[in-house]
Amino acid sequence: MTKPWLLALIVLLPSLTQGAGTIQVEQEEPAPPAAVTAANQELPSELEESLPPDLKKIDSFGMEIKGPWSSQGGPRDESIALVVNPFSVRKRGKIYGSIYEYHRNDSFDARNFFDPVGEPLPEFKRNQFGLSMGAFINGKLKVFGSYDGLRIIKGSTMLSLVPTPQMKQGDFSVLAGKNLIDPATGIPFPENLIPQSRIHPVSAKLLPLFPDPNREDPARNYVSNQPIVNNNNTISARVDYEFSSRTKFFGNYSIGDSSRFLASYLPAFGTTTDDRRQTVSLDLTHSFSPNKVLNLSAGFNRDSTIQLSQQAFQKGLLDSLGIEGVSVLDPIDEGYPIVELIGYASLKFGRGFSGGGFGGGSSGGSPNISVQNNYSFKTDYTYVRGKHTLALGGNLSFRQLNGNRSWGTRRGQFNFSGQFSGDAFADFLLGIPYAAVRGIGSDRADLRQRLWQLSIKDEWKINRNLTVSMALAYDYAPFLHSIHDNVSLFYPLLFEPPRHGEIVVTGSHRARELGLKLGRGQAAYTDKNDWQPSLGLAYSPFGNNRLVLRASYRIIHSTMNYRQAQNSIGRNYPFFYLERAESPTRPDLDLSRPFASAAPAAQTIQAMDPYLRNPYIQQRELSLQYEFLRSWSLELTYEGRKTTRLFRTMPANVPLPAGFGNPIQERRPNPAYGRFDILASSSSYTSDELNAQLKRRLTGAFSIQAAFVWNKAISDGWGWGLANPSNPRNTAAERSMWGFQPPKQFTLNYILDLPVGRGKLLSTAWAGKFSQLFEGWRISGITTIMDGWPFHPEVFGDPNNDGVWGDRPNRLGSGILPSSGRSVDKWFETSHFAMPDFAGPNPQWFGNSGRNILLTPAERSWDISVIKRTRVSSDGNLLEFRVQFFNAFNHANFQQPGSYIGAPTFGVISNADNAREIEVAIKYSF
Amino acid sequence: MITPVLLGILLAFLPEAGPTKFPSNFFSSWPREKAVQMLNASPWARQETFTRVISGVGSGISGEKEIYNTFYIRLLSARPIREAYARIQQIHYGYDRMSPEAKRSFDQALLPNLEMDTSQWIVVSVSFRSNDPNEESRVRRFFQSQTARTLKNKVYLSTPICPQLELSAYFPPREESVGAKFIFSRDLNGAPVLTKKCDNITFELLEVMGANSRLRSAFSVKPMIVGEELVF
Repeated sequence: MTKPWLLALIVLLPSLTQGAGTIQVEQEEPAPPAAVTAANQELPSELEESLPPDLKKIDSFGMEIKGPWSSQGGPRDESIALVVNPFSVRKRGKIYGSIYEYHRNDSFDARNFFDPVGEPLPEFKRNQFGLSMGAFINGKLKVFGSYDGLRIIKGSTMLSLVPTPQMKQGDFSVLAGKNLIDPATGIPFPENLIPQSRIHPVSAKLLPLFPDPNREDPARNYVSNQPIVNNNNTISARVDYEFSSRTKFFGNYSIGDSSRFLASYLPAFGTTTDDRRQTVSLDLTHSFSPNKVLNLSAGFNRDSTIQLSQQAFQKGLLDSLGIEGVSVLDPIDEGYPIVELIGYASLKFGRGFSGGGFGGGSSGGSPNISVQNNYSFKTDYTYVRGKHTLALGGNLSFRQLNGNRSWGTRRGQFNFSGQFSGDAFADFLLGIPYAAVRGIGSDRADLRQRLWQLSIKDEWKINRNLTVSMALAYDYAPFLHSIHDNVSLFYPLLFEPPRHGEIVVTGSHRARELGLKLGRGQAAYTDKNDWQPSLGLAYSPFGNNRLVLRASYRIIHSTMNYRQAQNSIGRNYPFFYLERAESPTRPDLDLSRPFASAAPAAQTIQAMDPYLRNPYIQQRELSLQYEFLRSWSLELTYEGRKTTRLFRTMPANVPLPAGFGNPIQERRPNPAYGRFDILASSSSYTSDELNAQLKRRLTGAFSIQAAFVWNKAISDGWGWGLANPSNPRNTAAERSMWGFQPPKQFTLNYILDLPVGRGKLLSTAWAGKFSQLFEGWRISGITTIMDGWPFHPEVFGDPNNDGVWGDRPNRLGSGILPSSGRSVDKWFETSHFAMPDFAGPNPQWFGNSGRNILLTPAERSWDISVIKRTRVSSDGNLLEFRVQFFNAFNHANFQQPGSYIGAPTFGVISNADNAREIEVAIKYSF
Repeated sequence: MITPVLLGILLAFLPEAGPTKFPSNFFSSWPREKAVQMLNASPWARQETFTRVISGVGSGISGEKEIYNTFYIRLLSARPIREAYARIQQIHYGYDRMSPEAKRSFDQALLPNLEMDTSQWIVVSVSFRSNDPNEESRVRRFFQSQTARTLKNKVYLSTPICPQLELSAYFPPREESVGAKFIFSRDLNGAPVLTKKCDNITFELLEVMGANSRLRSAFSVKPMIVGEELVF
């Protein structure tokens, strides 16, 4: 025991105290010379009580020295942080960051396989640039900000067929061998001339929208080179702040603006899109004690999109055309109606084939307005006790969709096929569509969703070899609902809706009378059964984690997103609904009054199945990970996945097939209504995947990661956007390979630092001052080799006349050609597919060919970067120059061949992915 | 009363106890490169870099196409590492141009770092750098938010004698250049956890971001023997 007098004496002697086993010097603060200190030497009181003094001193180990040293002893070397972590300087108070520019233009690019030889490549300029800066303000505060910009001008090459000036005058004499029939008399027009007086006044007003041909090709006589313009600006800022050693804060804000002009086949039908995305996230971590940690986070993001036609705000434009029954609610909706012409460029926004459905969505194109707000609050509490790490979590999120407008059909859609006169454009001139669709009412949707989740997880380290993880979560996830009292559905909502059924508004007295207990604005009952258990284990047989075996099983529920819901909520009579008038066999529809000139137009129904359930995924995984040598690892993983109750849109009120010319409407189970599209949780998905990975971490000169994935995925779903099963009464026939995943895929990525420089394989000492020219070279790249994507031959249109597209042909053979027999002119054996006999005495309404039975061409891509990094200052400033080759070997990656049987392009490939592109980039890091 | 006074006089003339004198500072002659090498690639220091190449045309994250996540793992309890830090500080503050008086004063300031008592502890420091600022922030927050308890089942030091030695203490990073400090006991039940006969000592950190789920770094024991002494 130390005597008091001895203690007194020790105190008299400067800087001597009794340490843990040794006498140590303890510096007096703040008198210089000061000790090496860290910014904050406070420790949690629990730690202070429990830790011996020598540990506290270990914590105080740092690189900053308090004292007069900065002002004496000559110039300070600024490289203190650099040399320890040699990327760039991260010194307290000093700003670090980078500035960069990536540039591409058409002079660097190779010609696409299908680009015409001898013609210049379309204009293309792409500049991507940015600036980032950060600083450690002091030991507690760190800030970071960045700006990223993108400017793209890309000339497009869109080929189409437009009517000639003569045809626009009614002169179809150019159509050799084809007689135009006068639908009014049933006899041909003399010399294929339509009298001026017969040109419909509405058509005459729309004629100027068709440009004159500008190419000689009789099949593709018009090329549009309107450039696509895309400008993006994104700013983000981040702050990390340490209130104390127990409490830390993180905040992030970013805002991104995007402005795009998307060209279309015809000049008047481009669209402008303005997007703004804002994100805020806040995160606070507090340690109550070393084994009790609480994390709180809150997030908000807001995405707004406005896509408008080029004619938006041209008040009175639609009315001036004189089409009865279509109108806009607001000048922002202004524009032309959609005019679909089979065989010709259509009057609509779009860059691809239009399936001839109801024409909303992308073909309507505008206005497409949505403002989404997402609020989320999350808490996690971690408690460590013995070998258990317990985590309790809670999530609450609110989703809002405000002022959403996604359909342009209020302006109407009119379809011309040429079935009355023999030419679609002639039908158009005469003003006799075979079908007309319009939206009635306000298509504005304001949707809400509130999601709760509670979870508990226990990670139990049983021994050094074995860890078991158990978790259980519960989701309370009601479907999106409308804030307005504008949700209605047909009751009973069956595949064959009975004639006594009726449309009822949810939450209404009538709905309750019928036993529907949905609230106002509610489209489906809440699924309250979303339990998510999981069990996993990690076993390391030798306890050193070089070899680890992992196994797990879990159930995950997915919740509905707004895109799945927006077409199924508030889309029915009397709020907003689609009416379809059609007269496929007689020229009864008049373009001036299409909805009043024929049999009454039929209302369509868009609804959720009120008994909708959330999809759930059963996931099982088994993996073996082995680390060998110093930096290599091999990982084999099997993952099985079974998704049940997957969403898909089911067509209903579908008539039985019938011969061509039989009107559809009167054959529907409920002829008072048109087609129903019902969002249902009725499909499934299973996949089995084997994943083998070989990795080498970057040690020395190179890193490599090679992965091979072998997947087999099967589903009878087709998503929630399109609803085109071949036979809606036999959805089992849709079960097939999943169409969005190649069966086999190999990827290789690598980084190689050339071993040139001081102390490396190839010394540069001989180069003296010029040695930097030879040092700092790096090659990196990604190689992807994968199978094609599943697809299948189809029958164009609706030849079995059941009102549902997506019919398939008969399959007479495999359809697969040997690789030596494949070419862009014939990628698969087209003779193995035949049109079913739809018109014979014993018609075959459905072909026997399956879905997704063929694969598109395989893809190969080598992306290679050559990088030169030069250190330009002693404190680590770097200048980086790089040249990037995308598809470096210019391999032609062909897209899907034509899939419509009978079309000239059946089995023919007409498009390829990008040819080689070269990009140059420069970046300066400071 | 005379006895305490005599004792005080006697003590005043006794040589100072313990390492109050700056030890042989031959490291003061190291060039910067030597100190850097000691901190980044020596028997007591490892770098583990996890890479990711971003595909697609255009820039990646802040203009970076190849993402490097590098962990710097150092045996801070090994004297050579602390000497290297000391030498870096000397160079930083212009030690070589200081007057003898200033040098002595500076040496005193460095002393607590150099003479850090690690006789009972193995100290592993881990710092992290990435050229993806988001990744760097995430990993930094991970290290900041951990405690010895929360890391207890995630961090191990393994030797052939003692597989999976548990963490004794943890200090979140205060400075980037030093990083987080993981502290393990040198003894287990009175026996040393590492001897000259062992092949290696391995540091493991499971479930860490930026490292494809785990960081594992092995140090060979043989190169850590200086003279006859195992230094770690």
